[in-house]
Amino acid sequence: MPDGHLMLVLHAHLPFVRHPEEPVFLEESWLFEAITETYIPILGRLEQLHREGVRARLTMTWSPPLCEMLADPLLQQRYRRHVGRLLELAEQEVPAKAHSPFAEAAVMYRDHFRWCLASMDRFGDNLLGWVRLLRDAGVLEPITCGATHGYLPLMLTREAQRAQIQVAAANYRKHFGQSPKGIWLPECGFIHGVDDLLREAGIRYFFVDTHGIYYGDPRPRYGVYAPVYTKAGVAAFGRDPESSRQVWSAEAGYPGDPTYREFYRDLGYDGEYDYVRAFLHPDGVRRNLGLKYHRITGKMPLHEKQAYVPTPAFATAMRHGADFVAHRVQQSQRLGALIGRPPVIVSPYDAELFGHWWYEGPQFIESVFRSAALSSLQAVTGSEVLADLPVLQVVQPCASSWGDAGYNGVWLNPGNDWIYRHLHIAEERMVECAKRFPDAQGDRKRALDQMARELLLAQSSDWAFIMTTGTTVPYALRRTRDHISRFTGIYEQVIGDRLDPSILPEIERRDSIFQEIDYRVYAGAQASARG
Amino acid sequence: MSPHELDRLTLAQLRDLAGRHAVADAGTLRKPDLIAALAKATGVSGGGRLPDSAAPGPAGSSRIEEQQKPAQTGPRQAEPGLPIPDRYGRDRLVLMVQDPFHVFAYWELSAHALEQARATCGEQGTPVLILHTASGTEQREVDLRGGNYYLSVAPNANYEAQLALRDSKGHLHPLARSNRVTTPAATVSARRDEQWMSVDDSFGELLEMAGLPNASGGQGSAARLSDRTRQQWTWETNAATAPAMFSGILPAEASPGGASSASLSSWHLSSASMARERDATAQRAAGAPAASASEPPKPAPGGDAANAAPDLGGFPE
Repeated sequence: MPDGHLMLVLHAHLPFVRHPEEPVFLEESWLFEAITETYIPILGRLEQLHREGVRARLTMTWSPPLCEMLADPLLQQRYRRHVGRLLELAEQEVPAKAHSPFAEAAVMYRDHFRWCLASMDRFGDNLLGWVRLLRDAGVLEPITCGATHGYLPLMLTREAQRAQIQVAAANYRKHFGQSPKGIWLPECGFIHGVDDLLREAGIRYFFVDTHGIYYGDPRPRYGVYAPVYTKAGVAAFGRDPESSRQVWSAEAGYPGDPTYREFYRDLGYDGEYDYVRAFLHPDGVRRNLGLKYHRITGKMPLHEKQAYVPTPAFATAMRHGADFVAHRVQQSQRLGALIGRPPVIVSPYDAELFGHWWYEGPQFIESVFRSAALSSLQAVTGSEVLADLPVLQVVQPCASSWGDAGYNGVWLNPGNDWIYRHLHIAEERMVECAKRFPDAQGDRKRALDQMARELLLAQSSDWAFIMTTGTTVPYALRRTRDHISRFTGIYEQVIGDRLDPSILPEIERRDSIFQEIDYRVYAGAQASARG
Repeated sequence: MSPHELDRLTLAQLRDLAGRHAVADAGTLRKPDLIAALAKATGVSGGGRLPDSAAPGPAGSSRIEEQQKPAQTGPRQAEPGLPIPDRYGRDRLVLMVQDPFHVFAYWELSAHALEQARATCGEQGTPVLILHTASGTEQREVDLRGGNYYLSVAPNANYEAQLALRDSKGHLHPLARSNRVTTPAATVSARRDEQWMSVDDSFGELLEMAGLPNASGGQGSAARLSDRTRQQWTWETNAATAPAMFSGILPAEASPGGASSASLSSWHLSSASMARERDATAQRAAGAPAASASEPPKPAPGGDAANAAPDLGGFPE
């Protein structure tokens, strides 16, 4: 019997950033950078482990907006163009940096961009094919999320919460051909009653933050080291605080190692302007290009940073992965003695932190699985845990999130509270329409379906989050207002029985998420089951 | 805010932000240095949510005190995006939970509703926000034009609110009534009784293999049928060993106080249908031990909070 079970969980999500109205749109680079630096490296390393016969088990959210973007032909084509340009640059860089301390990094970038394009070729431009392949191999358990990462605890109506979950489950079936077993509740936002909605969608498990379990009722016998069942019979996993600290601690955390790549030195800023100009956004403003040639080195001004050399950096990542596992083994033995059974250690992270921010993060993940396979820890997925532990304690988790301070304050504060008077009305109006038109056809159905898309897009917790953090606020304001405005416009026409179908094509073209949607999901449990 | 997001700001926006965070030499730093300085000044060490937000921490200095600020109900000039309504013409009051200690109230009132209330009031009246709690009501005078208000409350309790006009005799004339909210718990539960459950969804998987709709978003009666049958429960109650175990795993800061001894569950299978499901599961278990032959939880090997806490400690951070 292993000393413990390690459940590594990555949450991959980006808001739906697709802008067909412009040939190049800055925010789409969020997706492109994440594909290049996070998704492809992680999928590639999982596949490598599988080919070598090393046990790897990763539970990973692929949020519905992310799936929709990865499967979208326009964004696929734009991603190819994006990486193709980077490859052009990297091919110039290799001779330019030859015989310099930067030579190894230059070759690494060129090879990596080539690999990105080859991966697109291999999966017919849709990287979800890779996810399905690894799922079928048993190493990756893809789970879903709220339809648009809407923050459930701050929704007014149960119908709106249900729609976030049902639309997500339907979208998962569209991309993965089966029902989701698990869900990452957006921002780990749990509130009583959500578990009933998960059960209604056939979902077996979800996650809450540490205090969501510890403050649950009644007291959880095993703390966060075994899942619990809610009264609805859905399992809740709680986050292990120790493994998060180990990675992110300001003093001892791994990503600050001097050999690792420095995020803030980028060719987009460092290169001669005339040399890099052609590879920047058409507005010509210097921004990150993703080719970074310096390492963290130490605490010093950026211009004193030394050359980045990949080989020792990746060796450090391997060492850090082994260190992480060694600590989890010790932790498991300690916990095992305390609770009388092997603990389940749940270590969840935002996926995009690995690779994009912590460049060597995917290598670290590989190392965690390699080290775990040689240790007394067993890597497991959510489903495997539930299969192994048929009887769980019944605990109702406390309403909570993994946001700062642990509750709703990140998404409800004076910086963003004004959005809810609009979102709540839209929820009520959507429910009103779904009940009033139980069987709409033709243009009216198109209009109601598009209203559902606009409401869902407006609900993305990303917008409220950005308003709180104070960065890229204009874009978050614009997205919130655009979706509320389009929703309101269509609603007034539908409810006034004066629908002008000519307004629909342009809106449908812009906000094209969830082509499969059926607005009747807002009519309530009974009615939507008829759909 | 993450460095990733900072990166997307213009130099001018960054300098503005740097000014607000008192970053030295903000006017002369290059963009990457400015981002690094800002990331440091704002306490961000990572690229996303985790470093700051993964662990629940004590309320920071930005904690919102009870306050009222002018509402932003609609479009302001020069804000990006399409126009949105200022008002929706519905008289309403909505309560929202911010955290265990704060709720947020927002409202919209038509001139007509206000006039009516004034008419029954017989005078201008003083607008008040009334908070209904388990122990009674609290009143606060509010500026109706403000449109919202943050209120201090207690954890793990139910709240409702009302907007009203108070006349000179102290009588209240209602304007709007809110929804009911429950604030989250902010500490461990006093309840130590335990129930144990198993959920068997093999029937659901059989349905799926047969190509029939599963419990979700399915079609008509098949969905309801599967919903009834795919999950079956067994229950065990085991309260005897709970307190020692829990005190062992619980960090020191949150060590058990509250209720004294484990009491048997107030939980029971009330409905006949659930009891039937339990019997069905028990029968199946007899034939297929692997499905539900569960190991009962082992008793604690003498858990000791004082010894355990340093190792497990740190929660809540």
